[in-house]
Amino acid sequence: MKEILDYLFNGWTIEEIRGLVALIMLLGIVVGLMTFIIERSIARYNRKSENRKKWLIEIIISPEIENINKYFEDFILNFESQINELTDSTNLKIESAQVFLLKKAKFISEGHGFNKIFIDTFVGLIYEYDKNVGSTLKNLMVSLTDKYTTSIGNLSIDDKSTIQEFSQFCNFIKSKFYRELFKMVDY
Amino acid sequence: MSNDSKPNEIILTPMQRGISSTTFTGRPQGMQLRETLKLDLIDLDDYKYIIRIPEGTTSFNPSFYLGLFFPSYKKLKGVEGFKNKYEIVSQEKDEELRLLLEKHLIECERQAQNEYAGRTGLDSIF
Repeated sequence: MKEILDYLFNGWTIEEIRGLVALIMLLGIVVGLMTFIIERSIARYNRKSENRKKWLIEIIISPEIENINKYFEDFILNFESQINELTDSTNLKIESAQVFLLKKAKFISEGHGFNKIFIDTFVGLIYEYDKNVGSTLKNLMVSLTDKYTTSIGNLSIDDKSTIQEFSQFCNFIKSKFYRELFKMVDY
Repeated sequence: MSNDSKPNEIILTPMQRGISSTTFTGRPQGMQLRETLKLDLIDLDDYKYIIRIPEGTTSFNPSFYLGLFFPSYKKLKGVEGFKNKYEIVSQEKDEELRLLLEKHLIECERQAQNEYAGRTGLDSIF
């Protein structure tokens, strides 16, 4: 060891060696301080991110779960009652093709209005928080609106099978909606 | 034809709604029709156009509208530019049905405006 030190510091004065030691110590302190600052910043960022997630769950998502479920259930029930009315044989006997068409248009407008409120409020709020998730949720709702529109628009007078098909599609969209929603909070 | 003369017409047909369909729906379908109508080229000319929606249409969905017209909104720099060039009218004779369709078109325009400005529906509420 002594030989190595003699080799390394051959010709150095004791002050020069002390200066080097002091410099190394100073560098150690700076590195330690920087590590501390970086660790604190990461912890603060993680805490902030956790707080945002907690806020999102407690303030935005959880209070709305019941409303989201109700929205999808009501949408299916509303669709079912509209199809039943459109295919009611008593009505069909007395109504003209034009009245049938007008009824379809009215029901489609009702459905659009129902969806619009949901998209503009809850989905809009999520979009403000996370644009990617908000866009995905909006696209899901748009595909539901389109399915609803074509199911009523293409309805023939004696076809009730569309109720089950629409109900399955609606539940499929609902499950995808929740999956996307909870992706934001890593559930 | 000069810029000030009678507008050209683009007449949508019942077949463009799809077989036995009374609705215009779906963004891909709108984009496909846009290609068929060559709207990318039409956007660049100096003429005005009236787009006619066929009788018996029960819905004109925003998804279809955006697929068909949103690139025009971008090229014509928003709603004002779009409305200066295109006018969309329903050929429906039944007044009640025509009014419903006009409501759909207002909603379509609102959504196109929001998408163009990168806004959500919340902006129109608050």
